[in-house]
Amino acid sequence: MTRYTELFFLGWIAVAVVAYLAQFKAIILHLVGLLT
Amino acid sequence: MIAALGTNILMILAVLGIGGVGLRAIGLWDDLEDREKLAFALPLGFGFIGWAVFFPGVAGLYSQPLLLGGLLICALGAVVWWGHLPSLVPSLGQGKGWIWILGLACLVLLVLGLDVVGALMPPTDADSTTYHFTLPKQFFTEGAITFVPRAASGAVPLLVQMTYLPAYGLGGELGMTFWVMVVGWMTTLVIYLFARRYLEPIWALALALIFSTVPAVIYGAGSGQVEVKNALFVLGAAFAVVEARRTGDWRYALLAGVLAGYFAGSKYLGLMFVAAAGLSVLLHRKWLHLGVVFGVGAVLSGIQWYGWNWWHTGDPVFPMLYGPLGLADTDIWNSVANRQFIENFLRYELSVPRNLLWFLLYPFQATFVPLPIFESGRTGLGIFGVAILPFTIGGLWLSRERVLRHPLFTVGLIAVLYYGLWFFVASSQRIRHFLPIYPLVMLCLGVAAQRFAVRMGLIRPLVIAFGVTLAIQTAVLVVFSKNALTHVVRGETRDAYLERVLIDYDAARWANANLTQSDRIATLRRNLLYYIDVPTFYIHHYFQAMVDARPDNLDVDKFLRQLKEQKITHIMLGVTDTPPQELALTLSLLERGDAEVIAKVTGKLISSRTLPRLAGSKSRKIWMIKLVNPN
Repeated sequence: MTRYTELFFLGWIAVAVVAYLAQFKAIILHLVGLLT
Repeated sequence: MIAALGTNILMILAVLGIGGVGLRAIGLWDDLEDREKLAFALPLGFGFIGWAVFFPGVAGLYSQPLLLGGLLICALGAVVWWGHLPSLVPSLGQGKGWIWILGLACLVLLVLGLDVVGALMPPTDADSTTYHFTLPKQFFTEGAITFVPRAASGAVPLLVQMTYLPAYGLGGELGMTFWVMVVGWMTTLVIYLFARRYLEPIWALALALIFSTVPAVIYGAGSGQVEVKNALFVLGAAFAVVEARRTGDWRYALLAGVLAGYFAGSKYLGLMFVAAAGLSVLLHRKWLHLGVVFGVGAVLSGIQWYGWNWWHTGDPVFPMLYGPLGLADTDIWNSVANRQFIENFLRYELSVPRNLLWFLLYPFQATFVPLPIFESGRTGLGIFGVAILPFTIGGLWLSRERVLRHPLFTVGLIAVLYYGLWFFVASSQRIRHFLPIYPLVMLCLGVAAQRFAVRMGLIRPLVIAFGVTLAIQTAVLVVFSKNALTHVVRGETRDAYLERVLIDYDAARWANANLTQSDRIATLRRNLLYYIDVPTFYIHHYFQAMVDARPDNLDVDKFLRQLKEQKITHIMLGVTDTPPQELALTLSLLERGDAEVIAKVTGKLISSRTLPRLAGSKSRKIWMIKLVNPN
């Protein structure tokens, strides 16, 4: 597999994770606020 | 604490014992490797205990000696494991990458530790305090199973909840909360054991760990919710179907039928699983033979609660067939209540149209933009499925010529059939109803993805997908466990904990301090039913029809008469700032002088137990109302 193929899969995971976590933005910011 | 631990050890031995004896009885013991013996014995034994506890309850024979004796007899069967269990341990150490396994083992200990702390907490999940825990507690206290004439949380299959009964009866509340945690880990273990068929220990362990930290599992496994427990039956049944199709052996069809029947005996949706697994069994040249055996097994293990409902209402799947069967109105159900129930269920439980487009889109919508009714945000299935999807598609493409002959094809087929039946037929789109099947999906997706990654040299991205999923989900578990950890660290009393996290807990305390066993309190505060020690009546407006509390019922005389028929002496009424009040009819009783307010307790409405500061809470008044002349 080429490096580009690996980048595609890594990109897919990154986009999926960011899109998933976006719905919890308020919770994440709240938790970060509690920790800092 | 000692009684709770002792009870749990005894129950684990009983599950192993009766499960092992069951496999011997149907002649499969010698055909199975040790690993698979355990994978099939755990669901078989767990289901048997729930099944068997039903019968003395119907006969009114519940007592500690009987429960203890029954469990001891089952536990005696554990001797069949002598010389078989130890061989499971080395399998964890086989294969490459032991350092990764060590890392995952540490993570297992962390997750297990947090789950144990969670199991020390009094129950607070609303469904659990409405019926999952409340009914076993009530049945044990009364010494018998009594019919609960209430839709959705009373007259329903209760096989899994029946396993909570000996845990409560012998180990108290802690025995019960610990038991549900233990069963959650049994499911995780069985996923690992079946995954080992196709994956090296490290991948199998990672897959099992991902399941045990799925947000919906974190939410449900430590409570009385049955979905994670039903996953145990689903796994055993699906792989028994795989073996039935591979060998054509009727004994596997029987095992599959019994395990699928246990699921049906625990939840109406289990009927759809029986259909999905049964249809898959039929894909064999000996389809009639295997199908009949499967059906007999499913009926034997799953029918008891349907018979119980039929006996009391005439409707085995109360109240789903009330209309189609043309049943007459009775004291406990009638056509008006039935229409109200159906209309409300459809209105509140379905969010997207049931068509092919949404059949395909639902998993993505539920993952990324969850609608409230899906309950798939904070308590969803997580990112794992989507994160590894391209790997899985690649794996399927690479093995496209062999995929139909692969054993996991049967597993995937069962999952797809169940999903189809659930999506197009079932009356609720809550994602946790799909949770029992999710381990099958995880196995199919995970194995195909791993095969693809190995063959194409893409191990690193797949490891990252697994790692990111585990990191997110473990973080969720830590946040979820904050309440329990705070409780332990502070050395908080049980009362203080419940006051902090349970909505309107002070109202339950008031009732316990001021009412007696000769009183009966009607309330809509379902989360308090477990904690109110005096008799209660859940006066819901469409789950029960014995007291007509529908918003459009304006007949106060009828309302008062029905309250008296149910021997209700008090009403607990939540008073909010915005009308209408939850039981407007009660206000009419107050205006007429048929009832009086005897206390006003300050309740607390908590929007989130896990994140109270973010969601906020507000106080409100709970009126304690006494009927002036209840007799």
